[in-house]
Amino acid sequence: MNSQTETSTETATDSELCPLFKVVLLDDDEHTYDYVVEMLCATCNLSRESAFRCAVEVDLIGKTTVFYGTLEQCKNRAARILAYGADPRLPRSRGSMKAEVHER
Amino acid sequence: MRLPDELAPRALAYFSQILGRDLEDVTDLASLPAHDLLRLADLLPDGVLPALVSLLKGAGPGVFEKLLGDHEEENRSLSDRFFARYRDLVLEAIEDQEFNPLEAWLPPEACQDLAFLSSRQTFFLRQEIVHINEWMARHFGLGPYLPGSQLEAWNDLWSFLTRP
Repeated sequence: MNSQTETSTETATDSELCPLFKVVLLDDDEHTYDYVVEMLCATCNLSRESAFRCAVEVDLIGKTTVFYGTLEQCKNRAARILAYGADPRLPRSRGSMKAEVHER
Repeated sequence: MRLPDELAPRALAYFSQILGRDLEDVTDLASLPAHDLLRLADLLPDGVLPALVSLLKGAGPGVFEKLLGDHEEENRSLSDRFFARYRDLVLEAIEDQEFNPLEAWLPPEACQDLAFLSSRQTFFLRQEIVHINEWMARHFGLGPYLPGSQLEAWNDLWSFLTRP
């Protein structure tokens, strides 16, 4: 009983010390592959190769995880994505892509 | 881009021929093991890869994992080759320093539409001042601006376009 209590206490403490969240990018039809790659390199520090794989994933299945971190870090990255602006390559594009912060 | 529905059967017939296996519908295609899907991609000409990706859209999260080779070492080279070929096909070539994104993507005539223009503010502010100076002088007779003066240039452009 005592050891079980200690174990659950340790787990809770680990979770508090290292909360893991993720930023999920959502698909739409207002942004090009080029935009996604450029934007993810700039906002999430992804390599061009990693950003391209994310672009393919969001295109194929509608969402992709682009960043892992603490809640604060993830909110910051999501805010950067939401502030990146429209895709200049597409005249119909009028805003940023959408991103959500999720618990892992 | 999504492949028009009427072209899907023709694409599937072509893929069946290439792979030597009957693919009656998209479910058959999406159900291929990772190795077979990547082998099919490897055998297709570059120009047909977008049709393959288009057919796989909406087929579930497992499809992307298959394109990654299901994380099997034996599939890695096929997967890397697929992504490299598809990337070279769909992404613009990296431009040289002479390329001015404002000239390419912000036509001066479109700036009369202020709703459109305001949607391009963050794009404008990300540009190098040398490109802003070139574009502002050529199309509006404004500038030049010092390095770091992107916001001042934007405000001047906005004032110029909204003047009575």
